[in-house]
Amino acid sequence: MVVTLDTANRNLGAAVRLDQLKPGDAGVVVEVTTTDLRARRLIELGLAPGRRIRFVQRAPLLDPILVQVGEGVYSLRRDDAAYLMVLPDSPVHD
Amino acid sequence: MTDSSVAAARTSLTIALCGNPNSGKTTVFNALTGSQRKVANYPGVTVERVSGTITGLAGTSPQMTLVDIPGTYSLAAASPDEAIATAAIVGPSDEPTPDAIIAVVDATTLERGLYLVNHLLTVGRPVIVAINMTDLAAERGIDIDTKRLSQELGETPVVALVASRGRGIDELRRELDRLDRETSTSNAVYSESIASQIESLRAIDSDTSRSDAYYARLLFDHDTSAEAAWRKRTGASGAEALEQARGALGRSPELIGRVESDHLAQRSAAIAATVSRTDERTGHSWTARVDRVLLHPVAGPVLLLLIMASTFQAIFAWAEPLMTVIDNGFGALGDFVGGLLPPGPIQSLLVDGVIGGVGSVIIFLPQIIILFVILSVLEASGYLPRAAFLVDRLFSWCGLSGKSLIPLLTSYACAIPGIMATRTIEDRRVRLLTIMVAPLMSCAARLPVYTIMIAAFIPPTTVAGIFNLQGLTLLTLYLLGLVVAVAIAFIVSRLRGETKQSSFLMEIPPYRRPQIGQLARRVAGQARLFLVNAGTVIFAMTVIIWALAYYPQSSDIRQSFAEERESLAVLHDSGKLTETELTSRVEVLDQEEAGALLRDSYFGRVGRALEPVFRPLGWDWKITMAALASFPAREVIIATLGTIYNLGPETDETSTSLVERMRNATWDSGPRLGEPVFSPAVALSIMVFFALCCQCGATVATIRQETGGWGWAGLAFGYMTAMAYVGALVVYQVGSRLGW
Repeated sequence: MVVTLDTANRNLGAAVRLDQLKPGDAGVVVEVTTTDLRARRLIELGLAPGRRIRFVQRAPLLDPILVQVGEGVYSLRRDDAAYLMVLPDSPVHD
Repeated sequence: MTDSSVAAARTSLTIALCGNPNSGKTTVFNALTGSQRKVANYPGVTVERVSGTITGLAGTSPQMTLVDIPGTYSLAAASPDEAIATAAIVGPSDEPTPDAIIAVVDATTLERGLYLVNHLLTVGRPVIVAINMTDLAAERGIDIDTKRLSQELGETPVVALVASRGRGIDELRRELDRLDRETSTSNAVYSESIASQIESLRAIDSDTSRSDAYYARLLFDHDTSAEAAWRKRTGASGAEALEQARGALGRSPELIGRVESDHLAQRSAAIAATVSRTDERTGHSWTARVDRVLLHPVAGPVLLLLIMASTFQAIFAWAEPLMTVIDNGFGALGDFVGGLLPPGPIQSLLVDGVIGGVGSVIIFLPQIIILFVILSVLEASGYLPRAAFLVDRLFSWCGLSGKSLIPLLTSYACAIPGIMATRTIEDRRVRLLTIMVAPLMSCAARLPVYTIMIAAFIPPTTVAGIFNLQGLTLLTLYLLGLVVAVAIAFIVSRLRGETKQSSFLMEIPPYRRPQIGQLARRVAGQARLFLVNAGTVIFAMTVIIWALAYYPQSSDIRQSFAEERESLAVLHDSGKLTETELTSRVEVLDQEEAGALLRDSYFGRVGRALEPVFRPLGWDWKITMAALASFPAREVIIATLGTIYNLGPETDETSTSLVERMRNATWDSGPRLGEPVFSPAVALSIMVFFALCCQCGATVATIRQETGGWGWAGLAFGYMTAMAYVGALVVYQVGSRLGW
């Protein structure tokens, strides 16, 4: 699988929560860290391990955020974004 | 006898039309069935069961009924709407589960569509995959090998479509002709480990007709009604087998669902990678460019407000000429019919009751059509989810969610589809709260009340150079419902001490050009609903109210007025009155008689008894009774006022319209005898009452149906009625002191 290749070749420690990215950043989802139905819904929509994800923008009041996966665009709250661990294309400095 | 042979024996097959939301399901539905369909009760979202007969099949094929299933992403239901979809496909359901499935997949989001297709393949029915919007996919450099996809899905038929242009629809029909009902499809969707656990459950089940999907839902969904039924059916051994099967899949109980979703996501991604090729494009799509403006942090919210403001302006300004035409038409019709018949109960029933009552409601048809055209365009174009995105933070702050926006906006047309649209909200508390405040949105039925009161009593002054005071008043009333709803939601959520944030996960679909045909059908459906309502409920109420306001026609009163008229005639005969004096005195007498008869009618007697309760709101007994008669359906107030003022003393040669009659209305008793009843403050008090009150039997019934009990319905009715009284009281008391 794509995900194993990617994670094997890179330092998993570099993965960050999706909500820590900035608009315009992109990366690969490596894990969904919640257990409830929300995780299943994220995965069904394609916000699943192995998929490329792009942080498009924030809403006017900074929450929720828009992300793009493939040709699909999704809105999710920052609370939910925190469940998505993403390996960013370029390292994130806080 | 197996299920498939039962299906083959039937002369008619049921085909389920499934797909993700926004995959173009409705377009495929219309293309396959032509224009004929069993229409859903309410426009808006696909929440009702919509079905139609598939046309253009080969003569040898059985008749096929296509059932439109609500859009869904998987069979693991997260919202009530999706639970409906799952139940309709897998059971349990009142309707038989389908004989075959058409799965519509948006070509631009192939992986997501394949996730659902994989789920549908476990149902054990033949599946036809329809890859829709292949033209859009091609524009974005996505190329899908349908032959290869068919192989990857175990020889499942795959058809490429551009449903909006009818391309591929005939191929889809040919696949339906070829439906092989004898073959039980066995697609290796699940991994060996999952499949073996499904078999272990099947082994202890006495009912051998169940599909993989049935056992998969048992295994992977928690605390469902299906699980309860399973435990009941199979007893302790079944419960134990279920626990063992879950344990064997090696994850902790709360993670069991992930076993399935991880597997299906990987399988869908792998298939999509095999069958599709994407040329990386750097340019941004048309949708992304538009969104840079419409979702801009500053411009976005401003445009949202502007769109809403111009909607209400349009309703008021554009409908005006048409309404005048209809109004004059009914006036002329009343005069014509009145001239044909001799005075008496029949003439009064037709002219005052039917034409005056129903006619005064029908003139609002143009406004309703304009409102629905605008709402439908906003929905079909894909703007509404974006509006939800813009307001989610604000809404979540008061215990609602951005997903509440669509039900609330729909409720501006009608609370019934609005309340039904809350089925897309997964979180039960958010859904309940949305249902409770949805009837506060000013629905189309309130519009006639606002329009007539504003036209009669709010001057058309220009404010700030561009806005009309009448339009602004209308906008304020529309905002009033929203503001009160938000305030109530805020208070309720704080009282509950909300801690856990609900989720707001939503697809933002690309912009689409609304299809004229679908738009016209939806608007026509709503217009029909309005007219049917006017022709049945309002008509019946009108006749009842007319009878209550016409009878008992006290002979004492008639006698005394007849005597007075006679004495006037004597005066005229003896030369003490000129012809013109006689006419005007008789006219005054006629009006006094009509007023006295109305006051003495059953309607008048009850109204005068109740008047003291509503006098603090500035209402006389006629307004009181009109408002009370409107509890089954609020448009009745217009019909009632139309009837009352047709019967009453306000009728004269010069004032044909209801507006004029209301302006001429005076108090017929009490301390303000002879003073005009209506003032801007009274009009505002009536409008605020109607804005906040739950005067709609159908809404109360829908709340009961959607919440599963009279408790919530009763609460909604009670709190809204109380608020309406207090709101109207405050507005009148403050307004009249300000001299409005």
